[in-house]
Amino acid sequence: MLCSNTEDIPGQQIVEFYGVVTGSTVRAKHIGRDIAAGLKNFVGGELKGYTELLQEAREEALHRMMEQARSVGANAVINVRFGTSSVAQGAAELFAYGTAVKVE
Amino acid sequence: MDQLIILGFPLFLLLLTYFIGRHLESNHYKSIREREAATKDMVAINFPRFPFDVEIERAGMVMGSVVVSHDHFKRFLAQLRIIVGGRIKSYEPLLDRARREAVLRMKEQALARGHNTVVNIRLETSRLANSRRGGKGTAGVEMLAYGTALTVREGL
Amino acid sequence: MKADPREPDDSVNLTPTHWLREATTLTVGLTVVAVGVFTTIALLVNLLAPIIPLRIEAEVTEAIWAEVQEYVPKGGEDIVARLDTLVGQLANHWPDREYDFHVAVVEADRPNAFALPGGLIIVTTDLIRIAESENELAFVLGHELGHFHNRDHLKALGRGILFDLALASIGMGAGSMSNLFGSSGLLTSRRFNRRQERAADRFGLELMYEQYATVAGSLDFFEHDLGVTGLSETIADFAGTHPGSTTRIKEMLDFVEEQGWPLDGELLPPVFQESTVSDSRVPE
Repeated sequence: MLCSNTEDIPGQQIVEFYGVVTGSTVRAKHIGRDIAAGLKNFVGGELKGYTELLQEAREEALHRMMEQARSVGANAVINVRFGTSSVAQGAAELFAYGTAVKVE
Repeated sequence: MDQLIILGFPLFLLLLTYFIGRHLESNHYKSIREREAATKDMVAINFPRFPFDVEIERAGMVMGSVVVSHDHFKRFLAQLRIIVGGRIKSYEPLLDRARREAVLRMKEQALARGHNTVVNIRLETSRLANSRRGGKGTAGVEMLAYGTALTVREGL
Repeated sequence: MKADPREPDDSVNLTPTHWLREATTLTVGLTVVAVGVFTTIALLVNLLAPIIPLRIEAEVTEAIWAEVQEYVPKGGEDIVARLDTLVGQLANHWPDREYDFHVAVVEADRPNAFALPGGLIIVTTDLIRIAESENELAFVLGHELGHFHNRDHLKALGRGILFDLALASIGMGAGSMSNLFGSSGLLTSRRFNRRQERAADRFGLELMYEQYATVAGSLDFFEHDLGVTGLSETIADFAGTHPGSTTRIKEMLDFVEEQGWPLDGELLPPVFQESTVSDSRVPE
């Protein structure tokens, strides 16, 4: 499954459009990361725990979006965009969406 | 006597985090500059199409992200600045580092997958709120950079 | 046309700053402004307080005594009664008073006395234990009466309210920043400052002179007091609500000399002994 955030897959030709597909996931931090972040807030720098958390969440959202694309018979998703929204205290939803297409 | 301790301890904390923060920041910038020098020959643009023809072998999406946080001293400076007004100079290094780090990670992911160009680079920022204080404080800032990586045949 | 990747100048997004210098400038600047604001508030309050009639202040704050009554410890009623009489005698030399004064005794192992809004004077058990003469106690009570006479509660309240308003107006309500300025607020304080304490000392001396025709015994309190000396006294003097003893004693002695009042004279036995509070009036 190919993905791209441009309007086409570079180097390929789009033959069919199937519509918008999305993938989303809701993640919460656990207390350990919270405390580590609290300490890191003092000295500054990268919060590796959060970085990994959000990276994994994003990968998962993308993965789900590609699952949806596969389910409509597409072999590529173009114009992929990301979004986040806060749904509860300490939890955030991460979603990815794009247009599922068939390319050759 | 206790008044001296009450005033002295926060002051000590500020100075301590000033020195530690400065050290960590200069280390990070050194690393950023090295890696930027290493990837500087890679074509990276933020629009989707080359205005001239190229032969593309492969394409794929790449992302780079980082969550950074401030140190105590810089945050204290920003709070003072918010009262007085003007440029919050103490936040500039934080966002600059985050953005450059995210873009570097994206480029490095592209290189690791065998690509040599990245197009349509987009940047997004989100603030992580401090869940323990009811969302009032900022636990960190996430910077995401994503784009489409291409393997372009020689001749560019 | 070809692609030619180049590295841009990366320093444009950063303002070269000496962080420590910026921190000091901002902190010092804000503190100076804060002190300026507090001083203006204090001046304003001192100007406005005399406009509010004493009767209104007394009426409004006496509600506090009604509330507080049930919490005041009940023991030692005869001592309280004697102190009440002493306070009444001293207060008679202040004919314009609008207050009803009440005395309460509280357990504590430091000699101290407090004046609370509403006409309540609190005296600690240690003060009573340590007092060597009725005159010494009379000075302490007279000093507290001085705070009522000078409208010090009203002024402290006014300063507190305006201070909170000023902080709220820049959006610093109960935040962490206000703690920082709160401790500098100690110096321009919400409680009685050194000038007010000095004025209360003088009023106490006046009452003593009216009552006993001498100010003997007034300084004994300080000789029994905390015993802080040296560096701690200087710090306590600077940041505390009561001026350090040596400065205070000197100022009182200067005042007494100015007024030409006698410093020696007969000391009456203290309140808790068998003999009750003296009925002495100034022999004319």
